[in-house]
Amino acid sequence: MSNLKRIGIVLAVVAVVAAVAGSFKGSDVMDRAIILGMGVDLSDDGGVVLTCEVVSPGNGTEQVGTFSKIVSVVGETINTAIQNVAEVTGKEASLGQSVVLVLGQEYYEKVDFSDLTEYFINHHSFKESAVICCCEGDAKSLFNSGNALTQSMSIAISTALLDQAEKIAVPNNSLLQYARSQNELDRTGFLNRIKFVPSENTDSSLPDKQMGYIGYREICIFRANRYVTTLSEQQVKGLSLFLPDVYGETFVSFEDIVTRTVQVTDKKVDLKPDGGGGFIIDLDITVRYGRTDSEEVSGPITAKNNTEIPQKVLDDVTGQARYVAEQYLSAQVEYNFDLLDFHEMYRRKEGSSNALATKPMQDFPVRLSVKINES
Amino acid sequence: MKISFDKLQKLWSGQDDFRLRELTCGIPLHVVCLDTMCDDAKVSAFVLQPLAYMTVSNLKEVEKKLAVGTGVRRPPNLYSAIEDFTNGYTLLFDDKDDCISVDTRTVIGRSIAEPPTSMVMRGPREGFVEDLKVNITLLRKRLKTPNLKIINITVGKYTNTAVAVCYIDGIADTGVVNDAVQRLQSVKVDGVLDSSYLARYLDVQRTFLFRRVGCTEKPDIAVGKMLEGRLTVIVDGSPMVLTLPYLFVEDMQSPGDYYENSVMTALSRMLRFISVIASVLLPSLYVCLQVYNYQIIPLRFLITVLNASEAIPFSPLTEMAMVLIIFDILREANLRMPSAVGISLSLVGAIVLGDAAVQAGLLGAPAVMIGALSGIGLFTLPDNTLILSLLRLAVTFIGGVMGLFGVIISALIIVVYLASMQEYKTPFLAPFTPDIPRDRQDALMQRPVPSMKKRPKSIPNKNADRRD
Amino acid sequence: MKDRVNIDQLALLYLLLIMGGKFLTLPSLLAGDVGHDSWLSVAFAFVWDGVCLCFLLWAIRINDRSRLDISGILDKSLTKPISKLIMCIFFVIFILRINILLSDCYKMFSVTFDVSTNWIVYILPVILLTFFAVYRGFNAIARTGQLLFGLILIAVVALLVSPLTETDFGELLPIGEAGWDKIMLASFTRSFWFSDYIFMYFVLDGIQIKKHVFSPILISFAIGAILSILLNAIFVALFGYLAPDFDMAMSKIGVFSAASTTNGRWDWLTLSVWLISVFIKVVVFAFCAYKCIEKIVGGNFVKFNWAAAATISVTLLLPMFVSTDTLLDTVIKWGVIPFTLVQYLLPLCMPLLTKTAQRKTEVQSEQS
Repeated sequence: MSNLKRIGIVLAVVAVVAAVAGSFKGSDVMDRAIILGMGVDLSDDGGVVLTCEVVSPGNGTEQVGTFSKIVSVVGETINTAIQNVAEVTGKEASLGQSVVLVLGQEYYEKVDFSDLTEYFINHHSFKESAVICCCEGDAKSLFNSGNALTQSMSIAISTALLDQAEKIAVPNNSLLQYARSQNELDRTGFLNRIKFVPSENTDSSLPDKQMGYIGYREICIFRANRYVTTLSEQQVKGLSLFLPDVYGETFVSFEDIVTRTVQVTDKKVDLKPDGGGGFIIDLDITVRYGRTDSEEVSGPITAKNNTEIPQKVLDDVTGQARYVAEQYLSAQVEYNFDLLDFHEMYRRKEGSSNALATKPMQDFPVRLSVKINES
Repeated sequence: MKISFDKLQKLWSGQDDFRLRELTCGIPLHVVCLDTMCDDAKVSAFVLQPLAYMTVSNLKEVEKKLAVGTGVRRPPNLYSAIEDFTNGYTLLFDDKDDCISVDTRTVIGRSIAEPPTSMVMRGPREGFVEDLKVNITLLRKRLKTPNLKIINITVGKYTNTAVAVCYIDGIADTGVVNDAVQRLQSVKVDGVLDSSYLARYLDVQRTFLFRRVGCTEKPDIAVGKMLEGRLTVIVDGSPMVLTLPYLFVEDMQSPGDYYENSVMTALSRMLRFISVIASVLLPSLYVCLQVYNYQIIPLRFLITVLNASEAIPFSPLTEMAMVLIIFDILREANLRMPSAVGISLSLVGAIVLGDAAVQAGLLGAPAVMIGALSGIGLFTLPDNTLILSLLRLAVTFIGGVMGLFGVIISALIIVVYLASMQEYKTPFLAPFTPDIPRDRQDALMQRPVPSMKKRPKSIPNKNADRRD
Repeated sequence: MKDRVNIDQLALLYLLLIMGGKFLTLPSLLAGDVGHDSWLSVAFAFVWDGVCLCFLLWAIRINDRSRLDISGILDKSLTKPISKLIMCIFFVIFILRINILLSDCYKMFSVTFDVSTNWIVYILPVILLTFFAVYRGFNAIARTGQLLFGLILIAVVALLVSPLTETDFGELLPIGEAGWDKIMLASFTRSFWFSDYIFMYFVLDGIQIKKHVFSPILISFAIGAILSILLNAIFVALFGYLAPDFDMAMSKIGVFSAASTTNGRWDWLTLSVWLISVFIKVVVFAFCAYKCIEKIVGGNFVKFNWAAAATISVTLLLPMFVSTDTLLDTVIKWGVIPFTLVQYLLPLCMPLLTKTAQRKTEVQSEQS
């Protein structure tokens, strides 16, 4: 084959590629409104108010930092609301980079939002691993208080719930876990309830600037995407005691003038039959001294050797842990929800059935033991 | 054709440098030489002075009595007589059109120096020169064995260029040698000015892209390759010596590799490999990620990109194509300029074009950075830089048009193309595919020299054991 | 010879073929059939595959003496018409498989990667790639597989690592909830996606055996099977009731690969690396379809045959007229019986057929 022929073939290929170039429709990133996070509220006429944090690039000279703006749109359903974003921003909405979805208080308390969950779980680019949570008050004002933070509101919420929550022992879940909890077995699950907590302005250069942080110590319970109840901080602490992958609960013990803080480092949760037809929860927790520098400023200097944790502290921990655990368990029976995979345990043995889905929650006695982390 | 003094005289009549002396030393002798190709001192010392005291009855006697000349021979026909004559030999004719030629060639050419294309930190600094004889000397100096065989061929109708095929008997595969020699002998061309002319003829498959014949300017590398079973082709007038068969991996091996620590070598080879793959794919990924799959880009980086390209009036593809083409233009201009101008040219390129374009909002800073990075990365494979730069442009274009789909397909086509190439019983992508475990000792990784006990299997050879 | 392939290359190519294509729509289809027991269906399908593969490898070893090609064996041991019939069935299987693979990929590109285009423009580059590779010979394809397999395997493993840590395999309990008969039936009705070894029939004459035949291929079979079963298990355990709705298993499973939500979807890059194996599978099957035409026509394509290539290209337009779902519900549902004949019955008979053909060839050569 002569070189000329080969060049001819290459040219033909290039021509074909050029000809098909028009047939490929992509979505240029410049033509998309990249949504970082969304908040959903109830509108006056029963539709939704969607508040989005949209990336808004600065000018060419400033090339660092996050530039975002808050946009609110109204729609009959979530679908139409997202379409309406294009109207406000002039660009088509893109959910692929969204990290958080916040439900406003009025919205989640009054509405069955199954269609919203379904919309996002079936959305092709919205990530199933994104954070979903609800908030105190309406989501719109939560997003609009973002100016008080040094970073984007959406990223702040997602880092708070994903990275920090586990360290201070608050469970959290992704959209996927939440959606599954609302559709499987007893159809109950939870969402973290966040709020913007204003704090004192410490920046003397900007005296008018509002400051604050994201609080997230409460949890709301939902059944089939309908609001059930809100757990108090104590109950949340009890819940996290039972969750094997959440660590960091702290307990405080006072003895004379010495304050000792201990932290849970390891735990074993075992739900097993008690022999008489009921169940009992075996909870073994391991603690060590909390690693906070200022924990013993007021008292005499004591060695921070874990093996020297006095029995009094362990007794205190046992008492406090038992209290919060029972607080949680009683709420679980009262409102009949299951965050401890009680139904799942049955399913693994017997398979799923209608009888299992309607099985009410029962109260479990807790056998609690506290050990010292000796490592 | 029969040797005839008259014919020779006729062919060169009117040429100023044609010099003829008529002598009589027993018999009448015509002594002819080309003034421009001969060394006057040699002519007088090796031919004229001995003849002055000689009385002979025929030319055979002259051949025997010319004891001072090192190269005295009897050309079999007119063609070889003319070849000798044009090469600077002095011819002696008697009345009966009998002829002998005496080597009186002049030595003009540059001296042996370090080749500019392959400088090394450590290692020999000698480089090949344009003179065939010197080049063979350089090889012989390193291979003191009767097994170094040299086959001489003349190629080119007008240039009559001397070509030497060198190989080590007992290592090189006879089939490959015969194949290459046959190919060279069948070359029909008017002139050969450089070895690269012959490289085209030695490429059996007439490969469209990629270099298929290796070339080196350093005798130590040439000898190293010959010891691995390759043969070298030296062309008179060219300091570039061809080596056959050629593997893709050779482009990743730098001359200095063998004189450095093998761990360092492995590291730098990996770096070369990664940088080349990145260079070819990075611009296209940058474009297609922007046009189609920006979800892949980490959020913070995406925001930076958005900030940088918000004001750019071009589409990402056009922007990147411009950067790449500007880079190629700069490289081309730099290559053609004298080195003194070259420096100012690169300054102009870097500062004025790059920085000003970004300042003016014509090009985005990330695009310029990625274009430059990929351009520099290509230079880690010096043999294939140009072709890879072309491929990069093509893949970028396809990526911009078709997204990741196009990038995947075009990368696959390139790999299939590379994998299918095989010449002189040697697969181009060996030892990666087909996988030859033994040869991986000197591919991406390099084993220390003492533990490389076998010759590479991918190059056909007669004796696999290096120590034997 | 440009269709030559050695056992190592064959083994690696087989591994790529097992991994390519199985992770697109199959997991969600199986999850729809048998729920969280889908990994058991996959495991059963692989058990059948393994048995048939052993017989086929046995045949390959026997065939090493004579190096007959598939039609040579079938013509001599069965008869020419039967041989041609089998080739026709093979042709249909290959064409359907290519079409299903490509339409799944098309969906993946348009849904996940946002590249929307029309079918013809989408398959043009694929056709270009395919026939370039076929023109270059099977050896080039095998070498490509050998070169890229490491990269693809790393990509698949990287994609699996993060979801693996997120997965609670307790979700797969109780084992066999859907009923063992249903699970077995599912692995039979979905057998269309399995038995990737059928490509080996068409390179029988080019296989070069060094020492081992069984071990390299069985090892890659085991790796491929384990990865496929693991992926199915992870998929159903992770997505629970949602699994049947997520038709792009591979792109969904990677969502947990990104360490933090502010990282981009890096998993899509590894996903695109894995997609190479899908295209290699398309290329291999197209090569086989090309060979089928050669055997059906009865010729020997010394040069590249444009007519055969054009025929295959035209058949790739099928998804423009029939939707994938219709294809699955009609042709593949009813074709499963003839398909299983060549997928599962033929390999079992292959050693016998090869021996018979060999004996006949030897008798013929003695007579002449």
